Amino acid sequence: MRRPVRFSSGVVLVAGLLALWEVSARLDWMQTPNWPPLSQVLAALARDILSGELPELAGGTLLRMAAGLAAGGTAGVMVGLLFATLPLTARLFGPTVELIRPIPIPAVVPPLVLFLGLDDAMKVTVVALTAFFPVLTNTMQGIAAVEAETLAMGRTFGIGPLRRALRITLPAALPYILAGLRVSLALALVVAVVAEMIAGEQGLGHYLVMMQFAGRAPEIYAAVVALALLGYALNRGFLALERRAIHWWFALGRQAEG
Amino acid sequence: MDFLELDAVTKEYPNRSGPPARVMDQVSLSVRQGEFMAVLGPSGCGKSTLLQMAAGLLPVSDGTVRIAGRRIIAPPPEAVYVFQQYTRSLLPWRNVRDNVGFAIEHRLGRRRAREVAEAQLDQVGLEGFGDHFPWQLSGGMQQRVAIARALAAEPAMLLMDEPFSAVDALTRLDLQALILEIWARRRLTVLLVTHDVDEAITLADRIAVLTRRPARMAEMVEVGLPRPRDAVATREAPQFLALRRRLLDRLLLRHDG
Repeated sequence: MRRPVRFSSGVVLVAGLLALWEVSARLDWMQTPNWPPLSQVLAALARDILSGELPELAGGTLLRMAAGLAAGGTAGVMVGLLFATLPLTARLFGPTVELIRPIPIPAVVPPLVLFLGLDDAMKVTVVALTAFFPVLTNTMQGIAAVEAETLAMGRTFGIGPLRRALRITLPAALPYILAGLRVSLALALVVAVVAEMIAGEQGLGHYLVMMQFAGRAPEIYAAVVALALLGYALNRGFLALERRAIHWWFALGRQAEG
Repeated sequence: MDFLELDAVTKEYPNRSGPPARVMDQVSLSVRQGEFMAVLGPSGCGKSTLLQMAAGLLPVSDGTVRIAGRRIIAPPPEAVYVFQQYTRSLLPWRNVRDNVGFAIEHRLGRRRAREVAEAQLDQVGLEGFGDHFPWQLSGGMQQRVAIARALAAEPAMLLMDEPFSAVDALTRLDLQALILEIWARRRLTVLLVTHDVDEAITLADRIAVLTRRPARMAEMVEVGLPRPRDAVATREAPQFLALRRRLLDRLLLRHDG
């Protein structure tokens, strides 16, 4: 009897690449002091974690990211709901939204610094702007996908427009909204770090730039590894929450497939 | 006493090129309090449009709809619409109990709504299914949930839009028996739209037959079969068979009406 394979080939590849990293650095294949072995990077990571420096920096970055995500996501849902229920507002504000959307977000950091300074307010705003658009687009798509019968059902029971919006439209659109939020989440981490790198003295982004100036390669890579792990954990955590929040959606999907 | 009155109801939809498309032309009918009326017509003749206008879900282009003497411009509390597509009218994120409670929780609060919902589920033969989700149930059971939800609102009238057309033939008989029983017990007024001649004769006191588009009243047929009826046995009565023949001939345009 064969034992079932525990690790998928993808995990094996990751382990292989990490081993290649260690070996290539030890044997100095790159011929540069800026390619430290993985073991040194992990040691630096452990040191920075145990000293409390990295957790504090990462905590700050995550907190600003979460605040921006909450603000931008909420705004995206509310504006989407408004656009969908009052078409006049979509006609009025739609072009403005479409003009702001394509601006590369890092480009708005310098002007925002002038108004909001270098710290939390600016960074949260930048993340919120980033998170806003995917959620807005998906909210509108989700609302458009709500069946006319479902809404008529609410009307026949004498349920008013506000309650219909909150108890029928919003839950029905939630799978779409969450898909948008997941895109926003990935972008939010990126943008939070970029904003920290551009301005101010906060968070993992600023730490990365400092370590680069100091030429401390192991610390740079430690921060990169920490960010990779954070991003991965955030996405996995979000997927788990999504599975719980819209279990019915996945159940319906399975039914449709099988 | 007439409970629902349609007076010269006309429905037109705007047409980009040319005059508006008229789908319903001067339809008048009255449903008496406690009466079971079926609306029968060929597919696509606008039966559902008629029902939606009667429910206040769709504005009329001309004419008037009255329920209990009041002119209807929005869904009235006395009448509840039961949709054909239970998969679209039930909320998949709510369990069966809270789907039924949805009809009344905005008026009674969630706790009271749940109690009422449990009682209604018992009445449609779904006791013990409150914790299930709609998509875990068969089509017939889902339509029972939709019926329980309609009854929870305690309407005087049900407006039913081909409610049994999406289920298999045996389940349909089952649901017809259920609706006959509920109608008699609750002394409801029912207007049921169908393209199933057998269903119309089995259930209704009178049958309003509509023409093809634009729909007009073709005929009002008195069924006259004795009550209580049985969803199966009633179909063997000679009177049933004669009426069935006559209505099918008319709908298939085998002879001019």
